[in-house]
Amino acid sequence: MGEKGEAVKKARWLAVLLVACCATQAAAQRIGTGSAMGADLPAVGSVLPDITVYDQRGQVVSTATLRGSYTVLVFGCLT
Amino acid sequence: METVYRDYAPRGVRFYYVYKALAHPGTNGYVTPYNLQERLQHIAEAKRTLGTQIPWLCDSMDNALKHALGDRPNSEFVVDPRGRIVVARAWSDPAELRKDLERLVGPVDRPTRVADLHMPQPPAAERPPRGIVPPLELPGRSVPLRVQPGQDSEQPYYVKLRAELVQDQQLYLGFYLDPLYLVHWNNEAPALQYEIVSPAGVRVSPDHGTGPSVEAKADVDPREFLHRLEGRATEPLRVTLRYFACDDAATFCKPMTQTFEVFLQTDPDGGQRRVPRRSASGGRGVPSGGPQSARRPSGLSREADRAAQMLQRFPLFQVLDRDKDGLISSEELDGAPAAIRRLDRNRNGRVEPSELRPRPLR
Repeated sequence: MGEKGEAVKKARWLAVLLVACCATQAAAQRIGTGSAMGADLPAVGSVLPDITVYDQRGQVVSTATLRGSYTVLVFGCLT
Repeated sequence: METVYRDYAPRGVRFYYVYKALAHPGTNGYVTPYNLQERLQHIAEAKRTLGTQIPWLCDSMDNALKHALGDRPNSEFVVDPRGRIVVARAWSDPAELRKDLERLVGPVDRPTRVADLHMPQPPAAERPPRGIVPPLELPGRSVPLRVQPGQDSEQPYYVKLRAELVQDQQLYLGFYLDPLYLVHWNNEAPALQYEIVSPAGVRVSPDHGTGPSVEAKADVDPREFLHRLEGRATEPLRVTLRYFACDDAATFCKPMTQTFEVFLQTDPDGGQRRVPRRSASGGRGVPSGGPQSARRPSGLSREADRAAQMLQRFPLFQVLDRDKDGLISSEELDGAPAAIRRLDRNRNGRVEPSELRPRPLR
């Protein structure tokens, strides 16, 4: 392979690297700044997972029952 | 959030706050609950102090819902009638939520304003003082360790243990009174004492500690200690604590012996302690195990500290640095849009230069 071929090959690799870096950065921006666990938010359109929680009196509630109307969930705590 | 709730709950939208592990244990004295009952007590306390009518759900003790929905401390979701997530926001933003519901459910004729709510402001309970025993300065960054009660006890754990691994070689132990039980340190009684039993392969030195001698008759400051830590094991350290639990109403003051298990593994739900401010009154109590002085965020140099203080005068920094620790964490960056919106004091929909001018330090 001649010098020109090597240069083209290098340029291709650089292009691949550049695309990979951009994709990584774009993914990082989509995820936001991350969290303590580094987990993603669930995708819009995904089904709310079925998890057992409790109501404020301590009775068991399944999140699968949160259907039939729009539901707003806001995470919070005392601190 | 309450205004959005008042407008859209009558339109058939269900609202829930979801209680999960504390984001900043120690803030306002609140400490990590050890069981579901204590979590429910936290919810009751949150409803009381916030004056909110929004119902709460309580996540499981292993925070399964929080983990399933991205592990953010203040995230927000809208779920449609078929159970599909149609809005997922890393940080709750009531103004944006209202827009979402206008789009999904329809606008309301006269949106409720905060001034319309007349939310009660509960009086602060009279408690023994804080700021008597200066906070312990950590030499560097720390990560929370998993702690669990070491025994089934009919008596509540009036004191909770917070454990952190400091720079991979030191063990922070903080004994925090749980404000749910309205107890204080009776400084006329013997100070707390504890011993640490380490599993094979681990050495903690010293392997015991004693609380400080404090002049004030009573206080509610944490008792903090730093130990040298060598080795690792999957088995937990066992910490046995002896202290007097004394309630504010002076109905009991009883000796307690309780144990804790400290696992040398990071607790992903351990949250981040807020850095205590410089003690105004100064304290005479000096817990054994470490120097006591006001600390800079993450051990900043003096010059960096001055620069950080300058930065803290800017409103933009002030609203972003929600926990006022002089740093902007990734969680705080998640909430940047909602935080910046609060700078729009005249509510004209934009942030103007006058709203960004530095303010004197409070």
